[in-house]
This record gives sequence, C-alpha cells and structure tokens, in this order.
Amino acid sequence: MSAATKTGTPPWGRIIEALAWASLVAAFIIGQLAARPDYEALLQEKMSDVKLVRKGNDTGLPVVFGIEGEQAEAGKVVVMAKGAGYGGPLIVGVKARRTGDGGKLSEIVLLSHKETPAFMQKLQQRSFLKKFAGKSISDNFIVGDDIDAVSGATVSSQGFTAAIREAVHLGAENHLKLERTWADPGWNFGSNELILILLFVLAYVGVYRKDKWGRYVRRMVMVGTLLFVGFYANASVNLGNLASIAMGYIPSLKQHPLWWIMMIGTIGSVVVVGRNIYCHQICPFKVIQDLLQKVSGTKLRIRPEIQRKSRLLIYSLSWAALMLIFLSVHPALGSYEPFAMMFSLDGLGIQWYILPAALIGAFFVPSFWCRLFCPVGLFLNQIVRARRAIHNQFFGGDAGRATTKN
Amino acid sequence: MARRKERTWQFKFSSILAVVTLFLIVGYFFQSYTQIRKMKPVQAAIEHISSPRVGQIAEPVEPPAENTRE
Repeated sequence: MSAATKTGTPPWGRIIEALAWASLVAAFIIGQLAARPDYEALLQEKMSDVKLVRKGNDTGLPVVFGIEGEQAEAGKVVVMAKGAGYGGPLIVGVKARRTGDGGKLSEIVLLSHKETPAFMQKLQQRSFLKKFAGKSISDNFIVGDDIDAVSGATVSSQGFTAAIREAVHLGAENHLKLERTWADPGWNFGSNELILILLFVLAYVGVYRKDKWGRYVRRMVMVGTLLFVGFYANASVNLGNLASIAMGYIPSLKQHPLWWIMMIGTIGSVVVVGRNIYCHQICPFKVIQDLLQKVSGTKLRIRPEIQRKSRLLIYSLSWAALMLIFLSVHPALGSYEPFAMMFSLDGLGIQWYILPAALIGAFFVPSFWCRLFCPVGLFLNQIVRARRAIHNQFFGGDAGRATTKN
Repeated sequence: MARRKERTWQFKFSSILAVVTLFLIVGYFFQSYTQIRKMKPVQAAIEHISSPRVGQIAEPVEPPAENTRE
C-alpha cells in the first residue's frame, strides 16, 4: 500500500493514469464506430451525373455499382475499393467504361486516405492524378512500371496507385468481362531493404563491440542512417507508425517491406534483446541532434525539475496525440514529431516552426528532442523496462537496459 | 557564485526553448484537428484531361458521417 493511501490522500497519479487509459480506449472505440463517413453517399455526390446502383449485397469493400438512368449504358462500371497505403487504407471510387479495344479509366475519386497530409498535398500540387490520363483499364497500374511516382512522395504514390489498381482490375475482370492481361505487382524488395537490414545488423555489432572496431561501426551506422533512413528513405519511426499498428493499419509486406524491416528491427530489438537500438543507432534525427551538439559545443543544462517531469510531459503529449489519432482515425495527424519534415522539407503550417525549435534546442541542449518530447523513445524504453522487470521476475539478473534519458 | 549565475542563465534559456516547443506542439494539435475537419474527397475526370476541372484535384464536399460500410 502506498504512503498516499496510508495517509488517506487519494492516489491521484494512479487515478489520472487510469482516466488517461480509459479515455484512450473510449476514443479508439468512438473513432472506430461512430465517425465513419458514408462513402457510398459521398461517391454518389461526386459522381452526380450518374445514378449508382449497388450490385450484390457485400457489406465490405470492394463494392461494384452499375449505372442507371438516362446515362445508363452497357459496359460502364463504378467500383469503390480499398488499397493499402503507408499510413492506412486509401478508399477510391473509379469509373471505367468498355471500349472497342478493351476499356478506359474515366474518373477517379479519392474518398478517404490516412497518408501524411504534407505528402498528399505534394501529390495534389504535382497533379498526380493526371498520370492516370489515357490509361487503359488493362494496364498494370504499378508505380515504377507504368506509373511514375511523385518524387518525395513515393510511398503515398504507391498506396494511391494500389487502391486504383484494385478497383480498376476488379471492375475490368468481373464486370466488364475483360481478359486478365495485366501483371500483378511483385515483391517490392530490393537494395533499399538490404541496406536497412545491413544498418540494423551493423547497429547490433556497434552496440555489443566495445573496442575500436565497435566505434568505427557505430560511426558508419551514424552516417548510413542519416543518409539512408533520413534523407533517402525518410523512414523514421514516429508515433503515427506505432498508433497505426494499434489500429490495425499495417502496410502490405509485399509492397512496403521497408516498413516491416524498420518495425521488426525497432520493436524486435527491445523485445528480444532488451536494447533500444533504434533510438541510439538508427534514428536519423538523433544523429542530427548529436551533430548540432558537436558543432555548437554548448551543453546547456535543463532545469532539474523539468528533467524530472519530462516523462510526464511526454506522456501528456502522447496522450493528446493518441486521442487525436484515435478520434480522427488518422495516424498521421497526431504525429507531432518533426522527423519526416526534417528530411523531406515538406510540412504543413505550424510544423515549420516545430522543426526549427527542435533544432535550436538540440544546438544548445544535448538530445533536446529525445529528452523532452520524443514519444517513440519513451515507448521503446518502457518496453525495455517492462521486459527487464518480467525477466528479473522469472529468471533474475539483468535483462537489458533502457538507455535513453526519458 | 559565478557558476550558479551561469547555471541560472542556462536553466532559463533551456526552459524557454522547451516551453516554446511545447506551445508549438499544442498548436500543431489544434491545426491537425482543423485539418481533419477540412479533409475533402479528391476527384479527377481522367477522360476530360483538357477540362479545367482536371488536376484541380479536390472539390469541397462535407462528408456525411453515417451508414458505415467499410
């Protein structure tokens, strides 16, 4: 029994923690059950020149519609389908019609997406949908094959194209009775994935080797992760990624193996070996902060009471972010970390101020962001602590260390 | 004494930075919330590529929130 309970004072800490968890569960349920738009009505509203009549009684996606009324003609179909994006499902409606030599895509409506708003804005600015102009519905619709990705928003381009592909090919095969001549997208596993695996392997070596070779390896990983995970792939782990796992928005292994390697490497290292490899070795924003510290040489201290309360601060921010994510059912909207913006220089509104604030902070205070604001570090270190507690309980001894300062 | 003064200055500066960043993050949450309310479907009439409607991807529509089917 705690001292607080003994003296009759309510255990406010525990009560607030319980309320926080309860509110998160409630937000999750409300988000899942109550706040879903009627995509069918939305699609009808956008395609107001035709009357859509649902074919079949399927309750899930994809849904196929026939066209009724004055404009009804054989060989026209509207399909609403879901494709796996990076942040979550993308829901599209496509209108296609049969032509003498096959079929043509005539209209696309993106009804819903869970991608990072800045990347979707980029797709809009670069008129990504124009890339589908003149496409036959028997085309492959594969990024890198017959569709060019928008530079800097490759993953969103892939998700968008996947949703359109699913809808178009379903309509073509099952309803316009076209022969299947298109290729299926293969495994998207290539040199990028191998580089990330190599970085994780080297990071493990760097952590366990304490000699000068270990030091060289750690430096190599530092440069590699900054260039590859940061500037090239822009694949930092953020709260949105973790929340999307909780919400079941897991990108396809075939299309996004990089995401899988990153998550298995990050969460696997804390669960299996009890080491937070990601924060110390792989996170490119940590490298940026360390470099800024080296340049400035200034190591300002944080007021001890702020340092002590930093965990509470990150918990509060994470709670607010998760509430926003669960209620909006949009993982990218609660990710307040400036990682993606740092390496792509794509952001929306106030994000443009968070990044400089974090960088100025890191210039003067070592690991400024990690110590005071990073929810990923806190989450991973909590797993390390939980693992250690479980290990000590059942096996005794040391079972890995949580080594970041939050 | 000098050391304590130096430390106070450091504490003040780092605290101000932390508070400014915190306010910015709170501002980001507010902005995200308004972003959610503004999210609209995106549309393109692919066959009429020369039409001025194409490329201008979004047309504002308030999504009705009922009859879930996904």
